[in-house]
Amino acid sequence: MADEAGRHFASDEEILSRYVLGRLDGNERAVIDNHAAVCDTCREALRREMELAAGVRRLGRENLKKELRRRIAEDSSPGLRVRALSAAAAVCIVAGLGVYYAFFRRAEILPQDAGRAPALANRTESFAQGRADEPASRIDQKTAPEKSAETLRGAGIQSGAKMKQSALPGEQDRAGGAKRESPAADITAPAHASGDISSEPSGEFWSEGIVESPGAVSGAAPAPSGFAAQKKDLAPPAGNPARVDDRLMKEEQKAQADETDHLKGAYRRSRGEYLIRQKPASTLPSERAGRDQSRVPTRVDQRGNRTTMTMYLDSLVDEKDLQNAQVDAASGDSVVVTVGGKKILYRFPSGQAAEQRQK
Amino acid sequence: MAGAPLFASSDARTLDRIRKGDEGALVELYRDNRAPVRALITRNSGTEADADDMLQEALVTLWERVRTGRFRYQARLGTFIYATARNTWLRRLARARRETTWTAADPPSDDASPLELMVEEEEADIVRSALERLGEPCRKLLLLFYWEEESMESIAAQTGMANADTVKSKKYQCKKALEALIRERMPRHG
Repeated sequence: MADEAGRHFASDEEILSRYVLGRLDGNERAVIDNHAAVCDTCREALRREMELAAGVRRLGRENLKKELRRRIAEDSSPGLRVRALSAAAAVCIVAGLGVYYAFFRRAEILPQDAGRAPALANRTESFAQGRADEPASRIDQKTAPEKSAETLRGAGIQSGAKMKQSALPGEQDRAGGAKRESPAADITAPAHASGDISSEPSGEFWSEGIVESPGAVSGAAPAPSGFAAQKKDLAPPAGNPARVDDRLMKEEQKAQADETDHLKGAYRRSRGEYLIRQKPASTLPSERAGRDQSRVPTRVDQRGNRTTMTMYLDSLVDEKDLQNAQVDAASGDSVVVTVGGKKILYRFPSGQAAEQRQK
Repeated sequence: MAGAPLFASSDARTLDRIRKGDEGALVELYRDNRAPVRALITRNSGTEADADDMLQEALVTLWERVRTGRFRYQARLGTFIYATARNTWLRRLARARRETTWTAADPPSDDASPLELMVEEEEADIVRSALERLGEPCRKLLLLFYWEEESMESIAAQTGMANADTVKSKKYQCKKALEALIRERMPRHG
């Protein structure tokens, strides 16, 4: 250590290192500085040590920056984002299905519990009627909950009437202007329906259609009918942003495989009627403004066997295209509308999707 | 940290991750601070690429200070990063304009260590390029000592050397080898 007399430190590695690493206290540092001011050799040694340390640190910084850039690039790569979104979507779907079974299916299976979910009573009734014409052989293949549902339905319309009766307290609440408070109502609405279903007692709700990317539908023919064909058609090319939605749909289909399997029959028989309408997006209600441009906000009105879908479009399609619009079931609660060469995927709040189409 | 602001506990966790050498913490900070730094730099004659570079510089500075125990938590990390990116950018602009003086409002104090300010950038660059020509064992040892500021004992453990004395001896040899390489580019060195 350099003392007050100014001992040379040019060859003292420890002093030099401690100086450049800032590990000397104030007094020690002052002694070094004072000596360096009068000793050329020690000053030069100190300078070399500082240059060396600065150069090493610069390399260290550059190495760290390189690593940081690599991690940032990795973090923001589309593939990873898609995987992360898909994983998140899968979690949401699984959770949603759990809730669906806990509330909705419970309401369907156990008439005495229907009063707990009055908002869903109409939907449940409609669902039951839609399946009433199913053949007996089909019923034999059902899962336990399905069998329970069939048992409940018994003579068909009669069980529906029972459920409707159970739903009356909720209806009365609405008539009185009180807000519905059904635990199942919000939960069964899809994410992009924003829970609007809970405030739509008449079977009307908003849905947001996901437009398949233009590249994937270039020169697209009208979508073929049928579940399997529709799945294939909806698959966009790898790396396309629409892949997220496609994956989400596939994840959902996988998660709902058991249910979807026996619902398909219902679709084929339901022959629901769809009425497709269009309006300029500029006429959207103010609360719907500022939407994601890749979505098509759509007002859906389900009444009995007829579903009216009013799409709010930035550019209206030709009247002829609208008349040739086609609706196909995609999964348990999804339909694909093909209009003007575009395919638009919708998720509905319950398994009321129908296979057939209408103008 | 009961009663502390929410961001303080979050910052504490981030600092702890940096102390442990978790580079993923920097990626999260990058994501969180990208928008404000981009807005700052692009409003001040810079591009988005400049902004990303400044943000990375600021994060590396944070890393360096935390790892070497020279970081003092006086404001939330986002504030530190924003101020450091801003100062680095101002200094770069000043250099581009060949300005050497700083106004009192823009002191170059946050992002560069006193050591770096004392050493000319060109000289540090020469040392850096000489380091790249040095063998990997020496480069690693010098990085551990001057960049990571690890103790001799820790370096011995990380490099498989017998003990601290062996590290000291090896470090001396590495320094001499490096100085020889530097002299080729900078004759007055040594």
